[in-house]
Amino acid sequence: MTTVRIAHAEPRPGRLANGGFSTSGFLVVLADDLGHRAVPIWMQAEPGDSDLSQILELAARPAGEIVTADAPEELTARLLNAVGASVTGVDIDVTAADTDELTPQASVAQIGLDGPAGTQQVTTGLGLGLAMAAAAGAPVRLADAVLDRVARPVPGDDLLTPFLDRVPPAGQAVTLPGQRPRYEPRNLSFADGLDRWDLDLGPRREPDHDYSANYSATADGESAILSSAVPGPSGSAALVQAIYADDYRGATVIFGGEIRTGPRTEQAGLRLEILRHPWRGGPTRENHGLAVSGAHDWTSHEITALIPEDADIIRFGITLTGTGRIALRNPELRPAEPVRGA
Amino acid sequence: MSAEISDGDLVRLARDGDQVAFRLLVERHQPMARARARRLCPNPSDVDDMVQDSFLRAFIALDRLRDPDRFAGWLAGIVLNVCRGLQRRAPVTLLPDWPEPLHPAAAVGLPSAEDLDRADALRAAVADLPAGQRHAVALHYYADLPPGQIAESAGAARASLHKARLRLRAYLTEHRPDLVPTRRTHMTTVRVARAERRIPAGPMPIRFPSHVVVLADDAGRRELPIWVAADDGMRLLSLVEPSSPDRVRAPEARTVDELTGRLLRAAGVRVTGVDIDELGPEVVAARITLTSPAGTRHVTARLAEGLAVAITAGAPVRVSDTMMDRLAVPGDERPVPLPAPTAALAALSLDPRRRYEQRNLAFADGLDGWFLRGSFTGHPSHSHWQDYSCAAEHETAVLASAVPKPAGFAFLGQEIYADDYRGAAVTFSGEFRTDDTAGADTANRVGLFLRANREWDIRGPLTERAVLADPNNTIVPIVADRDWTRHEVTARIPDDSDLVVFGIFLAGPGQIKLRRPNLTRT
Repeated sequence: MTTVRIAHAEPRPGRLANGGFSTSGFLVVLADDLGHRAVPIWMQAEPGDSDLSQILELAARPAGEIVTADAPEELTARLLNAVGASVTGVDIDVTAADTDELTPQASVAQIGLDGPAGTQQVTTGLGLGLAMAAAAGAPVRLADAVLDRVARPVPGDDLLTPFLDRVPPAGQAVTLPGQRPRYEPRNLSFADGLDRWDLDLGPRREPDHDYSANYSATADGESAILSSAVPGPSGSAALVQAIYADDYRGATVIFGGEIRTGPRTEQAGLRLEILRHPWRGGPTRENHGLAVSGAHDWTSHEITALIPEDADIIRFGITLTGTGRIALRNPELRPAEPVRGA
Repeated sequence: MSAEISDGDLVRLARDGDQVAFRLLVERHQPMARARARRLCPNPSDVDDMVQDSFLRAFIALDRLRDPDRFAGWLAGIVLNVCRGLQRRAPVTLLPDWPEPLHPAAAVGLPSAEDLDRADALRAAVADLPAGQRHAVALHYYADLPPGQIAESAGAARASLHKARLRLRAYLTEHRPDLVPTRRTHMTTVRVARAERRIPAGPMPIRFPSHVVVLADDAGRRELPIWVAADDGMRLLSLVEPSSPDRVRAPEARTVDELTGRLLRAAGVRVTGVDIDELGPEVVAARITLTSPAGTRHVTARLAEGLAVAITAGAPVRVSDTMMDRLAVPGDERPVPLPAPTAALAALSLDPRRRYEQRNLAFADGLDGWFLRGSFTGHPSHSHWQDYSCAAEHETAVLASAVPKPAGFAFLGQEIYADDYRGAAVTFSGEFRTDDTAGADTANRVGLFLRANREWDIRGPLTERAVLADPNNTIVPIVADRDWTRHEVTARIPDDSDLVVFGIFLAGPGQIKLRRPNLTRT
């Protein structure tokens, strides 16, 4: 057996560019310091994963800092200590013979216990086992043969960056890229370029594929242009602005603007999205789209939608799927009738 | 972890109700206490009990510590007393209803100066008794005569012994209160009846209570509702609901509670009870009793954690009678008739969408955009949710205490995104008026504040002292003034700030009024 160190249990995506914080899962890294190698583990909704992250975070806090957070595994360790029992170690076993990845789904943790009743072993999941080890200060061990399969060489001191690609797209997803929304549309004349407008490339179906090269967006005078950047681009793209929905709740809104599409444009149109926080329950996204084709001259189009009382974000803009180009000018988001209280 | 914060500061925080501060004191001084107990306890298996008892007594008596910076020495004295108390317990009990015996002759080995001091005090107390009572005491405690035989002795009656005990207690309470131990706490056995979410899911302050756990006193037909934070509430909710058969048969522990249960069983440990009591002002904790081949042990834990252990282990839960009497409600009605925090919740504005600009500064829309917060909502009972109130009237906001002795502190503020103020100095100003009570007794109890912080920075306990010490807060206290007086507070908003918060605060009885508030870049 080789003893490894729990080097990281990082929430991902973590801190967002728009000021928020989001956790889709945890990237855990076990370090074999002597062997200059490490084992990455992606944990998502795994019991103990957030506790593990919290225990490591608290241990790294400056001396003297007062915190209120704690993890339940710490009480478990205290209860055991009170009766003279101690966690002697946590051994990670891989349950799938041919795997070269350590995952919570294909592994278990055997917690070794030494106490008044003698030496015992308790089986649990990988997340809880690691959290228990961290709380009790007990060593984590892997069989050498297993470690040889699941560990990756790490030449430097950075044990996190080399493994960020282990975070699946779902763990990288940021609902709202770019800046924090405002309450009112801004920069509708594109006088500030594309400030407050975001190029949204949608969910990445293939994590290794670089979608950012497929589409591009730019401001051109008083218009914005969304176009394909390569022949036969994958997926779709949208150029959108997000605002808080609060001032439009309960109202019917109209998003409109003048559209012009380029020749041989495959699919283009207007988009109006209504987003809700997941904690509200129910669907988190409501899409309203309008396909526009053959608009080689500037033509006006608009979408109408009712903004529900529990809406959180409104996103509006233009979309493009496949080859082509779409331009937008004089966009406008307005209530179909006066908003209550306005 | 706590090397840079003084014992005195931790004691003050703990007195403010901060459990973590006391935990840090425990972590810091446990090695000393354990070493001292090892030296004093003849039986090594008693050491853990002695250390736990010592910290428990220290917690209970924390308010009586005159010099918080001398916590270590004070604790050392408590360890000494607790260990000596253990040594005396077996041979004789002077006053059976006192948990800590006082008989100096019972000490193992030579009496110490403290023993002699106690003996002197007792001797004086006994000498002050009428002759019959003094004789009864001598027969019982010094001649080891059973109470039933005292009446047969000339000059003493059995009733005299009872009267003597009462007089001794009165004498010692008056002259030597330090020798009077705390009375044994009487407990009511309860059942964890249910857990339910009382505040809709959504964003709310960190560790803000959202769930209610109901402890049922079936014999007394009472129910004790206890507020817990969302994560604790969901955990207890899952434990109260029956487990699925699959989970019971699962070869591996799938939750931390299952894991804890299995580890304790593997260690040969039974959880024999979980006692809930207020260990100090506004500090509710659970004391978990463990029985193992090594003996009985006690571990103090957060309330919700203690309940989780009790449910998992099927152990009885007991609540101190004082808590039950004060906080329990009749259990006949469903759901539990909580002193509905509706009004408080409305003022708390749990989901105020932050804006980029200040708004409703004339209070024309009542307190829309403003919110009430503070430490007074943090108590796990619902008993302090309405200690402070706020209102808007005549272009003025009023923050006031609603009870004579409100718990903790409250603030009425407005929170906006910092984006448009980053890198700038900002001034919050307004006109303020207080009544005579607010701020009259202690400095820093009423005033205005300005805060800049990153969105997820709030990690520390929400106690008055911690708030005053937080470098993110700029606070200007106000002395009591019945006339409208203009004040302002200025702070620089760092480039990495997410939020700016400004408003008024009040700690203790009284009220503060605010009119014409304004936030400006300076």
